[in-house]
Amino acid sequence: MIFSDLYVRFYNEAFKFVDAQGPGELEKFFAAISGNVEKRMLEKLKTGGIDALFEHYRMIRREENCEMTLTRIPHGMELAMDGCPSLGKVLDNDAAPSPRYCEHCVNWSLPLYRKAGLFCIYSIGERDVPQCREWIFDNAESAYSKRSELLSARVNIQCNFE
Amino acid sequence: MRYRETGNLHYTFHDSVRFVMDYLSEHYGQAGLEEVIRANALEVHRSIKNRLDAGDPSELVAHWIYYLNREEAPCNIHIAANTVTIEIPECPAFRELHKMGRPVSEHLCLGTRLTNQFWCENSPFECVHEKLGEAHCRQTFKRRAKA
Repeated sequence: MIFSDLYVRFYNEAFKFVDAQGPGELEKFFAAISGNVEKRMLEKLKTGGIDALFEHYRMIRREENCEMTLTRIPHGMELAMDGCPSLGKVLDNDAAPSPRYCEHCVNWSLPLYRKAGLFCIYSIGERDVPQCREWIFDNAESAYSKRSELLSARVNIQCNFE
Repeated sequence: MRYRETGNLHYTFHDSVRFVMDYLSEHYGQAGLEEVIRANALEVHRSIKNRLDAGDPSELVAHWIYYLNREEAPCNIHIAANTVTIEIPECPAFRELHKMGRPVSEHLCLGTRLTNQFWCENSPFECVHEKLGEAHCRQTFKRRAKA
């Protein structure tokens, strides 16, 4: 057993090990993680849409002790993570952090939201700063518009839509 | 104690631990899983290891008491001159996975057994891990007899 409080440092060790196994191994691992989260969340998101996702993140904010601001916006929501406890613990660690640690979050969430019919724009920012931003919409037009705005402002983003 | 987490708990991480351990074993074999558990024991928790190597089990005991308490897991801990016994009648990982309706895995117990083993390796202590039921175990840390 790994205690829940201490899990993310174990997760970080798993990422370093899998990444060292060869090109593409970590991407396969991320995809499998997304598949596992899907078992807990996909149906909830398909039926509840943005409302269900907003409630999910309210629960995450409480349980994981996040410094996170959640805002409802037209046809979607914005998540501003100002203190990610997951990366925070990985940085407060006697072992070295995986330089790709933050990628797990993007890579489990983007495919899952796409399957649930949600459009997501993710901005990680610096890999050693526990902050990121997400915008999630249930409407393609709103997502395209936000993406244009962010690209115009030269924000580095990843999206789950063309 | 090196890590003293506070605040709320996210019990869903027990399903994440189970999933990651099963994935490592399935894709990289027992050796792959062991390598990650070893790194977690010796690098992440190097302060427990360093103290055990120096003959001091205090951080190990504090770690178990603190985190079992955080997880609201009843336990019996007996500390004697040369022995520390930790009995956990209901492992919180198994308890939470059952509550969530998620599968459990024997890799969870393997993780505990190997972590203790790696901590004790080349130290004045040895650990015996006894599985007494599906979610019930007893770990005994004993100072090795001097040669």
